[in-house]
Amino acid sequence: MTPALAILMVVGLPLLGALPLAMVGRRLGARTAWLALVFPVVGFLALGWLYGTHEGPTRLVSWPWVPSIGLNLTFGIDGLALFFALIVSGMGVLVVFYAGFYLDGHAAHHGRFYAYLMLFMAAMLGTVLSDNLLLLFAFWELTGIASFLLIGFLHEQEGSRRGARMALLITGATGLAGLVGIVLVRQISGTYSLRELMAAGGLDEAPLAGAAMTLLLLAAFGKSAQFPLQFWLPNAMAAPTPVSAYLHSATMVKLGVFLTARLFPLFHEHPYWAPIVSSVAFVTLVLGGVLALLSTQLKAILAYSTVSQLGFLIGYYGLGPSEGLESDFLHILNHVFYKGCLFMVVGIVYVATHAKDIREVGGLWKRMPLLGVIAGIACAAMLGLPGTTGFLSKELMFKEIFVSPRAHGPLGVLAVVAVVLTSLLKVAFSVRLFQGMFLGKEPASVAKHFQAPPSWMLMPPAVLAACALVLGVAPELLSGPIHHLHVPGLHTPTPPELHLWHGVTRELLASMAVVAAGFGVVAWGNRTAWRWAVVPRWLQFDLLYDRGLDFLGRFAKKVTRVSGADWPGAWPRVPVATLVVLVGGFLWVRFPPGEVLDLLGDGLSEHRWDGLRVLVAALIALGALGVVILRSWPAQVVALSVSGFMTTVYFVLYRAPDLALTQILVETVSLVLIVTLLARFPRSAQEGEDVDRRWRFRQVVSLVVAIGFGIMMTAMGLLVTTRPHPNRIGGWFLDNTQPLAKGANAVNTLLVDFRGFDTFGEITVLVVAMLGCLGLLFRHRRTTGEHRAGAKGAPGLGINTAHDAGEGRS
Amino acid sequence: MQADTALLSGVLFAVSMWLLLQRSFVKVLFGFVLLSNAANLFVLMMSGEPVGRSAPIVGDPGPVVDPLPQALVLTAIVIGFGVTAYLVTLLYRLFLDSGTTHVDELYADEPAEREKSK
Amino acid sequence: MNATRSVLFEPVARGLFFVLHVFAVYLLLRGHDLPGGGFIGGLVSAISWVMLGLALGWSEVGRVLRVDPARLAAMGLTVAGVTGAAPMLWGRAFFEQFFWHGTVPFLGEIHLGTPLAFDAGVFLVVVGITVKMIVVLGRSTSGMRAFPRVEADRYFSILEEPIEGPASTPKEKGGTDAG
Repeated sequence: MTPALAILMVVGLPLLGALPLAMVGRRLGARTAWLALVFPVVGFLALGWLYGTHEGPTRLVSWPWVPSIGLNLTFGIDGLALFFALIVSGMGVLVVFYAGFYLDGHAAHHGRFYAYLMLFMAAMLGTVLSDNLLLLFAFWELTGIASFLLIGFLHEQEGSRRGARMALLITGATGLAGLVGIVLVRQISGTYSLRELMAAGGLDEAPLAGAAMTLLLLAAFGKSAQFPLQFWLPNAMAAPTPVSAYLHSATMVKLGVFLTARLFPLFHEHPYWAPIVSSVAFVTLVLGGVLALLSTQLKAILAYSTVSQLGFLIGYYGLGPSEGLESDFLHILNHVFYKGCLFMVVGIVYVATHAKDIREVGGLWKRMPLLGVIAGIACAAMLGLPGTTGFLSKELMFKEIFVSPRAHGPLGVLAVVAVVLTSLLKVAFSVRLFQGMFLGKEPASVAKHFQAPPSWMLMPPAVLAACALVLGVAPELLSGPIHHLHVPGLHTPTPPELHLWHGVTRELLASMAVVAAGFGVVAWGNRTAWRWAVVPRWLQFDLLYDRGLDFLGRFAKKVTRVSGADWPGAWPRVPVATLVVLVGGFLWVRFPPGEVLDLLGDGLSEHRWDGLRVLVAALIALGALGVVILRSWPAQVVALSVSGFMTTVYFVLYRAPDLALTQILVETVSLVLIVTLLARFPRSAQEGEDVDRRWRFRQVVSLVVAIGFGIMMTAMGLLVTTRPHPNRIGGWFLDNTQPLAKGANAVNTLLVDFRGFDTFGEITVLVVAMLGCLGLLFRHRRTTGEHRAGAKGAPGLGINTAHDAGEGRS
Repeated sequence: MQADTALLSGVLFAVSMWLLLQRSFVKVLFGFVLLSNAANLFVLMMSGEPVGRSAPIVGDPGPVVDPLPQALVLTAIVIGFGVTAYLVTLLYRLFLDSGTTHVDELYADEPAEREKSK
Repeated sequence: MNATRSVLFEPVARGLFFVLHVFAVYLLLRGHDLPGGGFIGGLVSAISWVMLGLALGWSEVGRVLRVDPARLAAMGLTVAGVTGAAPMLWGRAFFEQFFWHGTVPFLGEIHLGTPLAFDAGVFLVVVGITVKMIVVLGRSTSGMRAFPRVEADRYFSILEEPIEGPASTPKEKGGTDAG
């Protein structure tokens, strides 16, 4: 096996396999899952081989894609890339397996689902494995698109569509900011290659480093749902649960963490790095924790707790010491274990009871004890009880955070407060989640609808829970891999040894105090029956998002209305007048009118008066004026044709034989077309033309605009032709038409050879125009109502929310 | 110097713009045809006086203008034809649907609605 | 619309049809070296079809042409696209052109190249779309019923009411009395 083959198996295979999966999905139905399972398994095995041969940051393969802009399919690995790639493909195996049962009963379009999922997985693996920053961006946005498709998978539901649009807009827009940041990094360092950037070291000193860092961090914050963009993640919960478990807990939202980790060696010594990263992240940490405690929807609790945990993971890099970090992999791994597991558990609960709200379930312990054990372990890992990876994670978290006030001053104090407070909240909502689902009294609706889930469905969450438990009891097992995946520049040279028992330390005492307080909160909540657990309106940031979109739509509508663009009788006047005022005004200022008039006078006087040319020009102008002056349609058509045919002669005088031939033929065909059209109209229609012959104000405006436009174009023509370009490209074509294109007619060789692709595009346009004509002619009549609705429609850009649609047009 | 061509294309631009601003769609169609003629002349004018170098076309040794604008204009003429045909069909469809080719009649009941919404 | 047939126009159109077609092919072939080419040749050919249609009626065009002009256009687009993409199969650049120069008995020296195939595609597209649009507009005098059943089926949209359906909106004021 070679590295190139491994990359093809990891990234290429799911990317290419998505389409065939979509096609066979219709035939295979729910069994598509077993076929889709091949891709993550193969990818995982290939990554395992790469892990085995890994010795340090290496570039694996590089295929040219668009070399001219420095975009190449360059893939490389280091510890960070391998770590994330293993998580993505490993979770991929579990999630596809799980989805095979989850989607079994109540879903259609299996092929589409797995195709999107594979597309997403390929994009994720591509993002983490790419060495070229532009390629990373391309895959980054591809994950956003795949996530859009997956969130909107149940596209018949308004909530799904809204969540999908929101996720796409937020992650896409921040991703674009990231692209600008990438280009800035290239400007600073001269390379897109991550490996070279890492080797070169920090960029903190460069003049634009602050801007590049901020933009790239914005991309990371958008993807990882950081404050104040955190609202898209809970709305993305409209996706099917396997998607939530995969994208919105374990993988995609971790891309922001991944990017922050990638940026850490480059920017962590920048004076704004710690303030920006940690202030945003720790606000998110607390906000997510509070909202998780206040939510009642099962998936919303998990989503907000994910937001909170992502805040911690990112903030961890913000306060990282300059010699490197120690245990970021452990924190990430721990989150993957318990959050992926809990999402799957919630999905199983939904399959079994059709309940989505914590108030609608309860007492499931008796019905599904095994699931209860799994969920218990996961919740224990979330709140950090000893014996789970969560305990290790929390111990290390406290240990590292407690020293930060010394290094970072007030920022460190904020971090300590945020982390302790959130740990407390985490204990509270973990316990509430578990007792809400498995303890207490069983509601009647559950008893009525309960349906035992397939027992194989419990396997993926059981695997994750087992990982959390085994590695929590024997953390020494983790030391080897973490050491193996050590990244120079990001991690400390000697990673710490992990042990279950560190002795009685202040971390342990703090942890115990927090757990006790958390249980206290739960006890209080149970006494008050959680009546206060409602997300207040001012914390629902998506309302602000809705208002913003709504405002944009209204603003566009207002501009449209003010400029008259929604009024068919008036619309062209405003843009054309604007054009005349802007361009004409510029010409007026830049070249005084007197100068232009002189040009015209000189041009006309010194011109070798070619009598024929003047005559033809006069005829063209007369024909054009005839179209304006003459009243009846036949006369106007004749005048138009005179003008057109005389243009042919003018082309001949310009020694352009191909143009003349084309013009005369096109003129003929157009004449036939227009006459055929006018023959369809009754006489009354022509009379209807003259309903309004009085001179109105608008006619005067039109006249002024039209004449102004003509004068402007004349002046432009004069100014351009008096300054001939010294180096015309046409000469090159004349010289090379024989040797290169083997044809004497340079116009034709230009069309079919030099610019053949343009011509191909042009004939495509012609075919499209024809199809448009056919569509128009063979279309059936619309009803008056449809006509009304179609012509104007609702305000906005089609991205209006339900809230707006309810109000209707205004 | 092509002062006469500049003047001619100016006249054509003015006339076609006037027609485009009319409220009858047939006039708009005519305006569009004239506008494409005007633009073609304008581009050709930019290519310079036809006193350039000879093209190696057998049997026609006379001077020929720059071939690049010619190729562009040739493309533009054909595309212009496509658009004209589309406009003709659109107009026909409009007439079949609403029995008029005049904006004022087509949207006869619109102003009231417009006022209301303000 | 073809009630009065012209005694003079008909035979002239028939004769001219062939002459114009020979001329069109000639323009296409010589296009690489002399004024002409796919666009111009195609337009000449299209005009000869239109003339035939004007003289003998649009159904005659369909009888002589046999294929739907829209398919002709699609064929032309395919020919042009294949000519452009074919070199990529041999690892050459997109739209790279190749020539062949040789002597053929009776015809003398001959010079052929892939640009001619591309130009032939352009020719077909121009003929196809022009004839299609004019025929469709010309025939629709008597409404959609003038079209053969297959054609109507191919293009009709099923979502909305037919044009020839029951009376239109009340605001329509006596516009459709003639045709």
